[in-house]
Amino acid sequence: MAQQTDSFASPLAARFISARRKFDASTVVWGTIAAILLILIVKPVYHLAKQSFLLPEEDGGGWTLLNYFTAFTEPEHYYPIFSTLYISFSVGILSLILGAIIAWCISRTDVPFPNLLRNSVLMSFVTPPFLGAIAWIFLAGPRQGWINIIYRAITGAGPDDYLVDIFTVGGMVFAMTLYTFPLVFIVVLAGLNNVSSDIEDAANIAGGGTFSTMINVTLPLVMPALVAGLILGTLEAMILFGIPAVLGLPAGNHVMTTQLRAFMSSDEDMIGIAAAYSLPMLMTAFWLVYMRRHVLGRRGYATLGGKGGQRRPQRLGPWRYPVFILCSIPVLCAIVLPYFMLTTTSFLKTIGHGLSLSNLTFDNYIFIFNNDAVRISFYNTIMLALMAATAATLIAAVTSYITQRNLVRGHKYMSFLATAPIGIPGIVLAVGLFSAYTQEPFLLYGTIWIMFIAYVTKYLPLAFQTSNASLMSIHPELEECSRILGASRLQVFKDVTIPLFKAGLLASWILVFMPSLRELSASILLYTSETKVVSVMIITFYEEALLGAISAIGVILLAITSIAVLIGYKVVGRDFMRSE
Amino acid sequence: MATLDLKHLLKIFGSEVRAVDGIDLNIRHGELISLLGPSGCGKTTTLRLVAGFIDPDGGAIEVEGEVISSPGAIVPPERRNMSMIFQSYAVWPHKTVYQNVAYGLKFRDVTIQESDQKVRKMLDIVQMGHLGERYPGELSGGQQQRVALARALVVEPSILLLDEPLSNLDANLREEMRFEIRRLHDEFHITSIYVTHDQSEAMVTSDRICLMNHGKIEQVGTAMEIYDNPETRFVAEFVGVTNSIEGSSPSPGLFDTGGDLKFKVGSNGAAGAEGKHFVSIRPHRIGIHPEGAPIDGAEGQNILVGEVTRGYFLGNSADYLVKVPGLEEPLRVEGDPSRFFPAGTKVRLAIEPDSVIPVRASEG
Repeated sequence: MAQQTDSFASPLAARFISARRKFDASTVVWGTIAAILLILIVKPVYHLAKQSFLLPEEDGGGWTLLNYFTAFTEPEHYYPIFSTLYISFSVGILSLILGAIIAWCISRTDVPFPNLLRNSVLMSFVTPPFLGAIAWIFLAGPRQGWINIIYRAITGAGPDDYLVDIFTVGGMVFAMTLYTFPLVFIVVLAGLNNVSSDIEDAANIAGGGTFSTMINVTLPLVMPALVAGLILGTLEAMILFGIPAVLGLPAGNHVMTTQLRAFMSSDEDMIGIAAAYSLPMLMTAFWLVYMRRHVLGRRGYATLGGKGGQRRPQRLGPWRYPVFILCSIPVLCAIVLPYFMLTTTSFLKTIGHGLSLSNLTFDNYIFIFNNDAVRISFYNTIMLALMAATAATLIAAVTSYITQRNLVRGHKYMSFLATAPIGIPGIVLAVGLFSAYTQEPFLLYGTIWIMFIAYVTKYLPLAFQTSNASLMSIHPELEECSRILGASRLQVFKDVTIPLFKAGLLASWILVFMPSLRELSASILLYTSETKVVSVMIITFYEEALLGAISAIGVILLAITSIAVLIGYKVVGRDFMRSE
Repeated sequence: MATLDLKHLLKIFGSEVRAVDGIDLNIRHGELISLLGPSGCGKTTTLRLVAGFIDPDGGAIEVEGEVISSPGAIVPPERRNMSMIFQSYAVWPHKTVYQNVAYGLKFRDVTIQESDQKVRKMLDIVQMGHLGERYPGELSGGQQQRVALARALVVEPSILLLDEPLSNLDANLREEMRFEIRRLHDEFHITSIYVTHDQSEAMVTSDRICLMNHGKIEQVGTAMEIYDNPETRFVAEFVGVTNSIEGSSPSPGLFDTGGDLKFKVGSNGAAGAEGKHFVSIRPHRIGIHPEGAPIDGAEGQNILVGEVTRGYFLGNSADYLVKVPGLEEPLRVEGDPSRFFPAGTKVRLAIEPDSVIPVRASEG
C-alpha cells in the first residue's frame, strides 16, 4: 500500500499543467484538420463564385456580369435547364414509386426471398450508371438493340423500324430511374422499419382495417422518409453526368451537366460562363440537401425508432410470387440484363450478330490488355481509389473523433464542412477545382493530384457518416475507464479506441474505394491524356464507338467492384452499406 | 486508502451554469460516501472532477493533503491511482473477462505471475472465476457489472469512484448488487465515492450520505441523521416521504402555520425552530385515532382534528390523506392497517413534538 501512495499525487502536480498545454497539443491537430476541410470544401466553392464574375484573360480580365448573361440568355444554354428540371422530377417521382413499393413489400409483406431482393437492389446501387446505360444500348438501341431485333424478327418489320429507342428523353429517364431508385429504397426502407408495429397494431385494434391503417397511420409516419427519398432521387438525377452523356448526346439532348462539359471543352475560354452556369445548380443541390435534413429531422416523428418487436407481415396469399416477380423487374433491368449484355458483348466479334460460336472472340480483352491508354487508366484509377479512400478515411476519422468527443468549440462547423460536399455536384466541384488550381502557385491541373482532391472531397461525407456511426457505438466511458486505470491518452487510443474503431474505418475505406473506381462526373472535366481514369476511358471509347472494348473494360471494373463489396460484407458483416 | 478533501470546488459550464458551486467535503480513510441528488444536481460533475476528467474552475481537490486538482494544474487521471465504475459498465467488448480485469495491472509494478494470481483471486471474489475466457457480449448485465467491479478493485486503488453503477440493472439485480458493493467495501475498505439518485441505494451502501442540489451540498450525514433530522426542506422531501408545512417561529418550541394552527416543536431538532420557514413531519410519525377515542399521553402532543379524504389499504400499512382545517394541503398519514379508516371518517391526529422537525428553505 505504501508503494502506491508514492506513485500518485505527485507534489509536482503543476508539471502536468493540463489546461494550457493540452489546449496547445490538440490545437495542432484540430487546426490541421480545419485547414484541410477549408481547402477541400471552401476553396473550390470560393473560386467557383469568384470565377463566375471574371472576364476571360484574353479579354483583359476584370469583373463582369457578362458570364451570367451569356449563360442564361442563349436558348442552347437555357434549354438544358428545362430538360434537367423535367428529367430530374420524372426520375425522382418514378424512383419514389419504385423504391417505396419494393421497400413496403419487403418490410410489410410475406413476399418470398426478401433478403435476395434487398441485396440485389443494393447491388444495382453499386453498378456504375454509365455502364448500365451502355448495356441498355445493346438492349434497346433502335438498330442493334436486342429488343428491336426480336421485334423485327417477330413482326417482320423493315430494318429501319423499331419498338423502343433508348436515345430519347424517355430512355434517359428510364435508365436514370434504374440506378436512382435504390437510394430512395434505402431511405424508405429505413423509415418503414422504424415505425413501431405497436403503432399499427393500435390502429388495428381501434378498428382500422389494413388499408385504412396504411393510409392513416403508416403513411403519415413514413411521410418524412418518402419526401426525403423524393428529394434524394431528384438531386441524384440532376447531378448525373454519365447517362445523359451516353444516351442524350447522340440525339442532341443536352442537360445541365453535359452542357457544363461543353463549356469546359470549348476551344474558347468559357470557364467564367461555366462557373456562372454552375452556381444555380450548386445552390439547388444545397437547398435540396438542406430540405431533406429538415424533413427527416422533425422532432414530431420521434416515434420512429420504437422497438418494433416481432412484426406480423401482411399476407399476400396467392399473390406472393406474382408480387415477387413484379418487384424483381427493376432489379432485372438494372443488373441482370445489363451484366449479361456486357459480358456477352465483351466476347462478341460483331455486335448484333447473335451468340454463335463463330462470333465469339477474346479480341476485345486482348485489345484492351495491349492498349497502353487502357492500362494507364486502370493504374490511375486504382491508385486514385487507394489514395482517396485512405485520405478520406483518415480525415473523416479524425474529424468525427473531434466532433463526437466535443474536443473543440467550433466542432459543429467542422462536421458541417465534412458533410457539405453532399450538396456539391461532382461536376460543379470539378469546375471549382479547375478555377482554383490552374493558377500559380497552386498549379495542379493536369496532375493526378487535382483528381485526388476531387475524389477525397466528393466522398468525404460518406466516410464521415460511416465513422460517425461507428464512433457513436464506442461509449466515451470505455476510453475513460482505460484512462483512470493508468493508461495515457496515447495508450488509450492504442488499447481501446483503435481496436473498436477498426471495423468502422474499414467500412468507410471500402465505401470510398468503391465509388472512386467509377467516378466520372468530376474526372471528365479534370483529366488530361496522362491522367485518364477507367470511367473516362469508357466515355472516350464510347465516342469512338468501340463498344466491344467498353464491354470488356466494364466486366473487369464490375469484377473489381464486386470483390470490394464481398470483402466489405466479410469484414464488416451484415451492416455493411446500411449506414447510408 | 486515503483521505479526500474537496475545498470550495467550483465548476462552471458555458458562461454561467454553476454545475458545482463551491462545495466543501471531507472524506475519511476507508469511508464510503454517496453523493445523492436529482439529475443535474452536480453529483456526476463532482465525481468527474475527482477523477480528473475535467478541470475545476475554482477551489481544489486534495488527496492526503496534496493538491491533485486546482484551476490550471491537475494530475492526469492515469496518475491518480483511482478506479472508477461507470454507469455503462464500460467493459471492453474486444477483451475477455480475464483481459478486462488484468488491464489495469499492466500499468502497475507487478510481475506476470503476481498479476495472474491477483486477477484469478479477484474473479473468484466477484464470483466470476469460471467465466474468465468469456467475452462481455456473452455476459448478462449483472455479470458485466461484476467484471467492472473486479477490474476496478484488482489494482488496489486508493480511491474508488462509482458513477450510478446500478442504474442500468433491473430491479432485482440492483437490490442484490447493492449488498454486493457494500460487502466488497467491508472487505477492502477503499475510500469510495458513490454517485446515485436512488435514496435506498445510498442508504444501503454508504457510511455517510452527501445530499446535493443545484450544485451545492444540502446536508452530509449518516442515513439515520439525514432521515430523522433533515436540515432543509429539500433533504426532507428528497429522502423518504414527508409533509412540509410552511410558517414561522415566533418563539422557541413553537411553529406558527399562519392559520389557527400552532405546532409544539421538540428540543432535539437540529437547531431549534428560529429562523426556519418550514416544518417536516413524516407520515408514519403521525398517530391516527377515531374521533372521540382517548389518546394515550395526549398532553404534550400536537392533537389535530381532520377528515380522511382518501384511504389506501396496502397490506403492511395504510396510507391516508387527511384534510385538516387550517392547513392548505391535506396531511399524508401512515397508519396501522389492522384498523382502517375509509374516506369520510372524522379522525384525530397525534404528533409528538419531537417528530415536528423545523427545516430551512433550500437555496436556489
